[in-house]
Amino acid sequence: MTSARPLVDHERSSLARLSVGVAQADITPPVGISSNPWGKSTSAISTGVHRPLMAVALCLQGESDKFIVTLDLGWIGCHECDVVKFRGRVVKELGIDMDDLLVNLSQTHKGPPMCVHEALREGKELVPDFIEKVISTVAEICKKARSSVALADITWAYGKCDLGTVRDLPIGDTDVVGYNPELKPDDTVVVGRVSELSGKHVATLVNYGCHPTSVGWDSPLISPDYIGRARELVEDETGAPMLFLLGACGNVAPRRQYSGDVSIADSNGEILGYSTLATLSRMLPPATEMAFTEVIKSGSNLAGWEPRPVNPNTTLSTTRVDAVLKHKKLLDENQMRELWTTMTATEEFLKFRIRKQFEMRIDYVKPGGVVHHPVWFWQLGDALVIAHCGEAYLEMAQELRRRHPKRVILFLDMTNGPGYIYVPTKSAYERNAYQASQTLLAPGGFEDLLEIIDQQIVKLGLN
Amino acid sequence: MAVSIREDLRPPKDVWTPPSARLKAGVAQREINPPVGIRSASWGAAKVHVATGIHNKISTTAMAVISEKNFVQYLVTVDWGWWQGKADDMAVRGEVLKALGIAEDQLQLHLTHTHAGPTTASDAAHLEGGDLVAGYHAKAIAGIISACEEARDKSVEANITWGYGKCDLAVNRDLYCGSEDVVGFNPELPADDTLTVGRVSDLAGKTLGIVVNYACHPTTLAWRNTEVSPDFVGSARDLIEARVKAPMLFLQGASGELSPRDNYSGDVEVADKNGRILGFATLAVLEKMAHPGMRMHYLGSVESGALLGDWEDVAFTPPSGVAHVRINVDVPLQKLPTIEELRERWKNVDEGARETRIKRAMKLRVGYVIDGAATHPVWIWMWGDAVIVGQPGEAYSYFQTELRKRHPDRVIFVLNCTNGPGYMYLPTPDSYERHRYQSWQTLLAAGALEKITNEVSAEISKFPKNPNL
Repeated sequence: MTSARPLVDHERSSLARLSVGVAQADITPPVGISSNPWGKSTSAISTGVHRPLMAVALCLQGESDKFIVTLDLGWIGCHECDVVKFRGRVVKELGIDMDDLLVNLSQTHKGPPMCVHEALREGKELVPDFIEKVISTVAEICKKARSSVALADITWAYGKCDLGTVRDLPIGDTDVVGYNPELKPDDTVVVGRVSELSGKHVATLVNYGCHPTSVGWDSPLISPDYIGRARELVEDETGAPMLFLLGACGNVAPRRQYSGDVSIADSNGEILGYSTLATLSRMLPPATEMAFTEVIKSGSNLAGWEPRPVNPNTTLSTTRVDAVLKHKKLLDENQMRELWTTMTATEEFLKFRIRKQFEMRIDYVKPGGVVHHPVWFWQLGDALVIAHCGEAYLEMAQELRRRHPKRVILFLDMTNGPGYIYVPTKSAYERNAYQASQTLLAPGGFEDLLEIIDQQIVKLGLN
Repeated sequence: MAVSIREDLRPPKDVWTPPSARLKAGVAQREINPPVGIRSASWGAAKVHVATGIHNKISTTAMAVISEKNFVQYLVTVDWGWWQGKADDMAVRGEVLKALGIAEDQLQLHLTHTHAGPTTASDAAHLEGGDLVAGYHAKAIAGIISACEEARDKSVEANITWGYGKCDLAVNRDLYCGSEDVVGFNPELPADDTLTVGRVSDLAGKTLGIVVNYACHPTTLAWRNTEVSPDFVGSARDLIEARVKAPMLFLQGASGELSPRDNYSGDVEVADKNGRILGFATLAVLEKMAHPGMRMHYLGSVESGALLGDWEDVAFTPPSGVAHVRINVDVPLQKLPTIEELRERWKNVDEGARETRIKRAMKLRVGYVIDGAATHPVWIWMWGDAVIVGQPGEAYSYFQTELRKRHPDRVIFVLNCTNGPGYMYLPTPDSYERHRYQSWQTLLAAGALEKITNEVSAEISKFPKNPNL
């Protein structure tokens, strides 16, 4: 042995020690329910279940209880069905503030609607009861998670996953939504391993940005898409529930998608599942970091390193920022009718579409040509969860992680509301991409939101 | 169900073709476990020099490719460490070549570089556990030959899909430590995370074998371990083979400065854990691959809620081109110390260890340094869209990152510890400046790595290109 030491003699782990509880429930709807939201589907009726739809709740106990809930469901997009009837009721039952609950939707495209107004097609009669069941189940698992709270260590890590591809495909002077083999996606997957102080693995958080669009209009099955098989792999290996948290996916989808064959979803899920397991396998034991020990004389001089115990960061803090962003010129009802009548099948659908536009604006569009886009910042020890309701282009999470390399950032799309819109980059507007036509934001909204979030991270003093 | 498709809207590039090959190929594997008690002495700090047990199976896996005029090439891997000299190498490789009746350039015999393997030395009979070596080597040679023959005899028309993925197992191990660099985890330097995978399937789609190329020293198990082990390769292979029901052939990449972060352990569970990182990462790559013999065509633009770009899998015939070349690169040598100078260098080492070191230093030169000059052999094989580059040294990862950067239209497998002679490090220039272990183990002078890289790259450029990639 020699007394020499390297200048950098430890590698900091990203950790948290928090009071955590977890609970999971099956929310698979009855077969026959409307479950095929694709415009190209001839019938919305489901004839079977590919894999169960799940709800998972994580309770974080601090000065007040806070909950992260993930649901294998598509979208809501309706102020009444989201804020009033769903989250409003859950927080009341839990006795918490609205901002103490984050509900992340996996955005599967093979589940029933979570908005009663969207239930317009075959199998719609089963939707209201299903929504009621989901709401009561979410409240139930949150309570169950709260009752199981115990001190836990969370280990955070970045890994790599190649499932997602860029889905903005230029054709002529527009973009269609499909696999573009020439553009490079973001391959970051964020994994959190929650362990009891005994070391027992009790939950896995997986944050990854990729549209669950493996299964398309030709399948009549209810499916969580790729999340189902990914979850099965991870849960079988770890024996603990997995929370899938959809990341920035506005322009990301699997290479193989829109399929009538659900085995494509399973194959896609294996890419994410195995990538998650590789990331988990690389983690050190809970509440440790790698530390240099000594130089050992062997055939050459070798550096010994070992995991050593450290005190994890115990911070649990949350804040919400309403980002003020410019919106596009908004259509009135007559303009919507003029624009959409020819391309909408029935008057009923047209009315729904118009209603949805107005629902999206409630508590979101403000005077002065702006929207207030809510973003939640939850610090969980060394990690920062940034959540919003939009579907941001992948460059949002990528750039935030580049600017803040010392902080593990979980970036969540499709969380809470309002803000049920795409958040595309300026170039998507220039290319007339679908996402740019769907959003209410004016060009520049992505770039402004990025700066607002960045400033908030700096303000939180997390660097 | 019929959907309305806008045939008029198509992207300029409407076919995506995965790197692949259509070749006559076969894969076979044999267990070649050594007897407990055999000499196993890879670490200077070890107190025990014989194997007290077997952690996981030691195996050899062979892949045969048969091209025109029944020309057979064998890519063979063995869960062994490294050759000390040409005599040891040829005592095994020579026998395999003879038994198969092939020329030297038809075989790339690769060692996975485990540091917990049985000795490869043919002159260890006088040492503790050395009495078991000759018998074991004869058994291993028979196993290698048998695997090669089976791979050859079972060769069928196969679709091979090649692909790159990523694996976070390896870290950089050049650690600045006071006035010198030591060999250990450096959290401040990046490591190449490229994982290269080939999947060999018969024309019915059944997987026949998996080829995995990754650069990371199998040094999880070190002086405190006394069991024979393939190191992390073992559990990675177990995981993959259980899933795909076919043999996995592991090829050590250009890992001169790369190792696992969790390293130098006496606990075999750490090796298994490291193997799971590689195994799961490989399974993720396999799932991303296109189905055997399939590529994607743009089906059309579909009017749904949005205008969707739909692709479909269609069968195609992968390229069947095979090419091979061996080059001998003139490499610059360091000033080679005499035996007396080595005795002076190691005068503070006890006499037995000193003489062992001197003997090993001299063994490295035999058959490599001739009349004060050396050439470094490299075997470069093109199998469809892939190129397999094998050479006996322990190149720094510069070798593979540079070749892959210069040839992005091919999938390049880069192999250290393959054939011989030239069983020495190929370090980067800064390694010489920092007087790293790798720079004083090698006989080569600074610049050798870059020269070899340039000449290999030039040869790859001469191979025909696939215009579809």
